[in-house]
Amino acid sequence: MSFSVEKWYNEYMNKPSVKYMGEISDDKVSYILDTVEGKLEEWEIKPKAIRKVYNVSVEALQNLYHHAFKPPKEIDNCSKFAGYILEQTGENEFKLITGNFIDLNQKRKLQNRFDQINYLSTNEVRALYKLILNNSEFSFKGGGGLGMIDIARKTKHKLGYKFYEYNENIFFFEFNVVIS
Amino acid sequence: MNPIKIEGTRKTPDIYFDAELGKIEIEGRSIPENSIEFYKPLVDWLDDYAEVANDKIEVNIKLEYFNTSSSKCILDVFKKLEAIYKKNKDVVINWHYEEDDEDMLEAGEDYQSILKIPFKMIEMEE
Repeated sequence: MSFSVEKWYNEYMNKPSVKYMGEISDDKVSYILDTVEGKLEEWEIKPKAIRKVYNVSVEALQNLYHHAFKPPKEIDNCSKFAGYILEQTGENEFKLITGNFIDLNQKRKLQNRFDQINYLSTNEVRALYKLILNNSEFSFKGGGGLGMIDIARKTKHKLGYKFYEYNENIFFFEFNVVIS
Repeated sequence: MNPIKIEGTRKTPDIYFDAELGKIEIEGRSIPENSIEFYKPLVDWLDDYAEVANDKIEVNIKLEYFNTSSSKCILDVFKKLEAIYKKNKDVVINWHYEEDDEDMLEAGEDYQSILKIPFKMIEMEE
């Protein structure tokens, strides 16, 4: 059976969550971040955990804003399409999940990038962050991959990913990470 | 030189750069999608300020959140201040962080290790 983005999105229904799926624009990123902040306060989460979740959400959402592709036309007509899910999995533990469509070339690049980051120790992740930060070649659009390295650094958890085949050229890329 | 005073928003920090007083302050959130656009006038101002800089310059950074694209722009601001410091000016960067915010402390330590300019880490009570 082929991949259904609605089914993917609706899998995350059971736990307290913040969810969004649709067009990703500057305004939508702000809207999601405001919703996340409001919910975390409503759930009476400790300030330290709020900061961490907010920081990771900023990087994940801005990554989507800069890199999300146009979805297949039968899914949506917008230019950038993505899903964002924040689930509370424990008292001060969360799982952040994002999803967006990519092509085969992107799939290979992402897989290499994530495997490289996951291979590093906490200290090596910090050293890599500093190296890229102080490198003038770094792209402001996030081409240096600083956003994902920052997420690995702040969460101290391995970056999870899955690729769902939509058709032979298009994949749906799921990113997930635990924040605790 | 005219001072720069910019009021903060949900995504950009309060800015106060005053040449006469030798004060540079960045406070709040720095998470704009396009950080270069926001920081370029500040970096340009520091280029001009380098020519007329006071003997003593106090820099206060009190950030609640900053994204990775701002982190590069903040480094650019610090590099301009480092150039002024190398002209034998008394420049100190006061890096403020909330008491349990280890990530913000680490971020300050990273800048400190990259730059040759005095940093003072200041813990604030929540």
